[in-house]
Amino acid sequence: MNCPGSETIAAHADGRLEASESALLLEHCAECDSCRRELGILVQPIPPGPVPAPFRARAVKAITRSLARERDRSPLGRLRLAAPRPGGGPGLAAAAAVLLAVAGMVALVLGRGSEKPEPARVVRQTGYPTPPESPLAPPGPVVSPRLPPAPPEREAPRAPEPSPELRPADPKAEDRLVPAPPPPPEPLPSVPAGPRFEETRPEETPARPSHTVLARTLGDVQLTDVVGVVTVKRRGAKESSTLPAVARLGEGDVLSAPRGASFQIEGRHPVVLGDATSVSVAFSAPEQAPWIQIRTGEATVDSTGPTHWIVSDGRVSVVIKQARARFSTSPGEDRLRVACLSEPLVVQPDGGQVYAVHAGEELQIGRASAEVRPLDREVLARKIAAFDAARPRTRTIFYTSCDPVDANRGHFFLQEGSWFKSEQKNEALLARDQKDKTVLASIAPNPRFTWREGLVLRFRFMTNIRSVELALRVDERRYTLTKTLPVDRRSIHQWIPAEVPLAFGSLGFRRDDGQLQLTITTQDHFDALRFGARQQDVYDAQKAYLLVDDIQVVEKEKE
Amino acid sequence: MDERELVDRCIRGEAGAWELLVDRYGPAVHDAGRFTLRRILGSAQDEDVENVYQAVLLALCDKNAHRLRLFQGRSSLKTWITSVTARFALNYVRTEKRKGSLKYAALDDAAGDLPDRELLEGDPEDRERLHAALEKIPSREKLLLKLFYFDGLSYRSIAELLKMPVNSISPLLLRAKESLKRQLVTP
Repeated sequence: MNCPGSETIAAHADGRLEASESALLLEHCAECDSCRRELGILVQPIPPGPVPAPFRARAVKAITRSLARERDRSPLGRLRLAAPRPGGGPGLAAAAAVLLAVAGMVALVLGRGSEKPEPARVVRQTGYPTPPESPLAPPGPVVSPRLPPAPPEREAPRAPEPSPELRPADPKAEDRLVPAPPPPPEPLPSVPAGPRFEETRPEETPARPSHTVLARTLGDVQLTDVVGVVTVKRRGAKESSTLPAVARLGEGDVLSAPRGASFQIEGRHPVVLGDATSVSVAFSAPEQAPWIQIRTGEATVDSTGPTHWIVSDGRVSVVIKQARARFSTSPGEDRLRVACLSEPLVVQPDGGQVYAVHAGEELQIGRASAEVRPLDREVLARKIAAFDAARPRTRTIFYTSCDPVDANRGHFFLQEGSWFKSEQKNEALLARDQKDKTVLASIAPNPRFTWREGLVLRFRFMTNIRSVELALRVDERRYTLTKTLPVDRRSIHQWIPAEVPLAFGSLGFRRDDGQLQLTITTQDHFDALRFGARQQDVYDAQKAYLLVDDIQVVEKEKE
Repeated sequence: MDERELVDRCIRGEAGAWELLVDRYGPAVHDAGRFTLRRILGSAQDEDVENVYQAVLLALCDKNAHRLRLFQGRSSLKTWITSVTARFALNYVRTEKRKGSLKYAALDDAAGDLPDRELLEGDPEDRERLHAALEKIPSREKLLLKLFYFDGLSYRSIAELLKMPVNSISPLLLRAKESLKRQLVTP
């Protein structure tokens, strides 16, 4: 059934629809529940109420972010973003931003051919870059007033002399480079000399695109199935520590492996680090893609799902699009190398053209150029062998560190329980008291996983109750697999690791219809993982509690 | 700034225009979201209201405002946004219910406020018979019965929806019930 759009329904409610169209709509509404309800809402008096201020603030923030993302997608917007380099202060970052914006506009105008003016005439003087949140100037060819000679010292670097005529190169560019705001009231301390105007003007149209490392919003990424010795130096930490089996890493955390080691990103993409390799991993929010910065050595990624990847060496970065392939990356002498070991890759250096890299080829990306070269056959074989030797032999089917971040990212849905924050700033799932004198924590994994041989459920829990019941619910076939875990008195109030093979021998079951036979099939989806205990079983006369953390379902590879 | 101009400026991605849109039409989104959740669930949790409020505003803006571009000015912007919000909230309830994450704490308390539930609950066989009979009566009468009994709309709201005078609703409803009864006794 084709439902009319919201506008037709709204127009009927406003009484602006033709009689014949209205009749059709009402006829449709007699059959279609959702359209009828929608129209029903419109004709009822809706009691007005104030919008809580935080709602509004968060919505505006989200919209601002979305607008910024949209701008970044347009080719011109990309040039605006220059990544602040480590070591470069805000002044330098601002300088880079202005430099790039100016260079971008020059390039833009040069590319236009017929209306090509003198490069010097399109350079605009800017004050300091305006924050992206600021309301943007209306589009249209705004001719900005001639600027007075700049005060001797400014926050941002500038061209050595104000250009005689200031014209926007493009209305879109105007959006980004707002006319210079009035100079700061008091002179700021001087900054290192900015780029000179002459340096920003290309002599001729560059033959190759200039690859600019985009500023990306980086979040955390989950690492699981760590095999071998990997040490992590957390951002700001003085010393390295060994990476636990499951960890969350973000920008600035540096992983090092003295010899071959491996882990999985987001529980599904194996990554093998070669000898003496050091990398950083994070999650890039704009592309919703894992981000890898290779510092030394070589990393091989087996991308098992349709996801983008961002690979960087700190100077240039590339987006590998929707890859379901294996690729390795290493930093060369001022060139980032991305070699394809299996299916073809589509690689786009930031701000550059798109390259197809086939198996046995390597893309070398420099600051302003990139080229595809064939790989030596022996080198290729060595890379593949190194990957196979060190890759993880287990596969994480489902993993959660039981915190709201995971839940927000849709790794699972919280059905019962609440978040508990411990002193170590590590969040865990706290079971909630139920009416039937039990405590229960329950999550629904997303996507649900099916039963198969060789699955093992691992988690850790802390409680003061004598025994804890683990239940895996299969809604469709109406049964629950159960496992009771006794808790020794000596181990109460401590994290207890649990490893439960999801196999018949170690699990009990309950069928909703009470029958005593059960066949599990590989089609059975687990809809919920529940952790429960009876309050009356508590040790001592305390308040019963149950904490659950780091739930992981792994599949062991068959030999 | 009139509606059209505001929409155009928002489509061009002007942050200031979006802020104005949130100020002018955000309350309508908020009220409609809360109202719809209350109608369906009996109560509206702040968290759910905010989810709907934010998702609707963001959906208008996301992907280069492709949702906002759908607005052609056939209705007022406020009614359109209310309509979009209602549709979104109805879908939200459906998906959240599936996830099991909505809370129905206040549902029972508010049940008295809700439409005649006897029609919806009760014996499944009766219900099936009722729905079969509903399919046989004229669509206008069917709509009327559903609006009154399933959705719990007042005479005034039904009149507004059908673009009819309020005092004509009662006899129409009576007649619709008669034809439904006829269908039920003579299958």
